[in-house]
Amino acid sequence: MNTEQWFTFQLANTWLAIEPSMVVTILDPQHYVHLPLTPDHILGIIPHGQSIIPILHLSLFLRMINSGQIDPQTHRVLIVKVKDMDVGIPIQVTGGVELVPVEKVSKNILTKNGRLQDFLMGEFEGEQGLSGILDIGLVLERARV
Amino acid sequence: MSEHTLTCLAPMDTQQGVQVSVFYGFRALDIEHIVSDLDDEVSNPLGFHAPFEFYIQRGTGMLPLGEQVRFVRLEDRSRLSMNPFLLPWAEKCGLTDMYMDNQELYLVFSLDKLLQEYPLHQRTGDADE
Repeated sequence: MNTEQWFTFQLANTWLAIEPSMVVTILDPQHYVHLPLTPDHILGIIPHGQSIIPILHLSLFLRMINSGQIDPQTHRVLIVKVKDMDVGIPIQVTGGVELVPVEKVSKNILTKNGRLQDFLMGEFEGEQGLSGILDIGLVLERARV
Repeated sequence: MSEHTLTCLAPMDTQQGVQVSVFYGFRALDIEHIVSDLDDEVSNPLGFHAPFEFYIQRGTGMLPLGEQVRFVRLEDRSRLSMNPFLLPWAEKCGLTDMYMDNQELYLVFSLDKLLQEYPLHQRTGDADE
């Protein structure tokens, strides 16, 4: 049976999935340094090792329902890396890495929440229920400031 | 790093204002005039809040324009990096590099770009007009 690995996390009460290879680490809640002249979906930056990591308020960028009710300062930060871009995303819960049979991955996208649908590549019914496969590369490209 | 480089050092806690250090190896321009003239003007295009404190460095000497002198080891280039995610923002601000050390944020600006966008004659002339 062919399977795929997906890293799942919850954001604004919606389960999302990305390739595990794009996950750098998960940090405890952080204090963000505000950057002037940036849009609302950029919460600021944090030091991480010798790097500076910008923090993306993903649910706000995607205009997801309830995104305004979430305090990202109290959430753990998922650090993802796409190409040369390291970006932190405050998340609610992590689901870990799931093995998903290929035939369970559907290209038909049922999840609708703000602009999220525009950034989903597919969906699967996994351990956490329905999870949307997020095109995180496209997200970072569009969310760049 | 360009010879015309201006480095601003800002502590993590920007709520309390931003302390800025200015370093460069400038050859022909009037350093004191430029730095004192930048004092108020830099804060606006970059969006930081006062108070600012400026210092300049020429060769090994330091000319403090504020009460506190901060030293930055600019020769340590290995730590300088710009996250591509922030490149458009950095270009808009005239930033060329940024890095963190000892919980402090270092911003490296292009002095050429600052002077190009905010020419001395405009900034000094505004007060007269």
